[in-house]
Amino acid sequence: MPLKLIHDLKVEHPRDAQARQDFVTSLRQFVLNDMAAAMKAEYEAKVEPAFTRTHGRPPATQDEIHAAMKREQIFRFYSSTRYNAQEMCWRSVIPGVQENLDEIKEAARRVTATPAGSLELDATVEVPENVADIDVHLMPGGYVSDDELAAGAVYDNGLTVFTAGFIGPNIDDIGQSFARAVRARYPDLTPSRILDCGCTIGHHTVPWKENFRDAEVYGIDISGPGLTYAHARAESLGHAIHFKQMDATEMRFEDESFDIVFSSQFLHELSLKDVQLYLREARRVLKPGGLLVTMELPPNKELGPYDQFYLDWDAYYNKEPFYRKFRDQDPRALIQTAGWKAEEFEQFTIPQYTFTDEKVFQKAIAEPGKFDGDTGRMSSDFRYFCFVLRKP
Amino acid sequence: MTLPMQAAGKRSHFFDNEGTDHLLAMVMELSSQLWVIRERLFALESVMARSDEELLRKVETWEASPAEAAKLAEMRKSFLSELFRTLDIERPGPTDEEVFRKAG
Repeated sequence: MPLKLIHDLKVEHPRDAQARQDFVTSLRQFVLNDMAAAMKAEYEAKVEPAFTRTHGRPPATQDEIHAAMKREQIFRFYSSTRYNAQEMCWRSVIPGVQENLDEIKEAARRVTATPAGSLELDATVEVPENVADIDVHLMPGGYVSDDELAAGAVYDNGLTVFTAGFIGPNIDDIGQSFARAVRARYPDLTPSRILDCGCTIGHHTVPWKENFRDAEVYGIDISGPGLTYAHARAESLGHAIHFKQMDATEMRFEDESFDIVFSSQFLHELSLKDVQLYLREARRVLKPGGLLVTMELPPNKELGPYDQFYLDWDAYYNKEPFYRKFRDQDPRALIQTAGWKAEEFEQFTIPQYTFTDEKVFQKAIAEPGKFDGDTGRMSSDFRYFCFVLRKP
Repeated sequence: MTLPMQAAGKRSHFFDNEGTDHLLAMVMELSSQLWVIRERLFALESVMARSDEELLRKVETWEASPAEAAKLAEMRKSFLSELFRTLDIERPGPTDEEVFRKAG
């Protein structure tokens, strides 16, 4: 069965829509696990040896591999199937959201009538072209639409299919894993204020509140519909979180006002100029001793050419304009262009909390973590990459 | 407000002939439709097996048990394997033409 949303904004999709969602979930699992493995085997058995025969060396870059693989049937079928699965993921949930939009809005009004947290929208926030004009992730309509919360509802329902269970039954494993990893790795830090930047519908913001109950937790995003939905979602789940529509490159927070600034899968959605502005802003709003925790796709320099090629598929076929450029950066160098120092930087990978034995997880997060073909790649048993900066 | 169903912009295509991309999209769509029917049939059979009245209502509200859900997941995987069987890496061996020549 498809993953079920567990809050009041959930949509009861008709029986056949659920079956479609089941199918797309399995299709994505099949593409990302089985077809991906077959494609790699084909590369190793045929494509790499052929390239080596022709050039007297194996492919040295992901671009050489991409060019060679584009001619292969396995890549074409993998890509076309994955592309279709991405489209079908959204198509399997949009009719249900459309049909139930009034009910979703009514539920949102009901659960936010006496809120524990807050929502602050700002119509003056300028939405950048890459968010306003591009249907990122092939999500029809994108993240900013005229409707007050439809984009958030489509995203939440779509994630139940898109994530195919890979980030847990409540689609929150990234937040769960990093909140726990921060607590274990930095036991001296008792955060009183935590900020999640680019939080969309707050699915990874809520775990910070769950894990640090005494802290004030904030989520910011440029998308009003996403935040409106996030606010209702968090209230329905019983968590007091403060959502504010804000540009992360120009935050309206006081200097030194947060202990932790977190983001997940956010920086690769920004231009490099905005990444630098964001890193500067994060430093400004962090208290001395505070942490900037950035969960992201692993940098290309940490992976071999094949894994670089594999992970950068989205850059070419998933309406992700800044994805490749971001992954080509060395985070250690990047942060130094934004006012941070190399000695304040560390990077590591961690396993997924939801799918890892507690003892194994605790042991793993104390280590630097390995980089391999499973790092940052959505499939069974993958690892998250992050870099952390500690403000002196 | 009518929500859009398709991302804005021209779709990517991966084959030399764009028609192949369309055919694959159709196959994907047919596959999902076929799955919808198979799942409904499975639901119907499950409800009948539980033999109760208000048959249609039960089909409409049927929820898989953990064991049935696991069975469906297994069936879907098998279904997908069948669908993509031609893409499997070939096992070593003579081609059809080599076999024909040897026989001749």
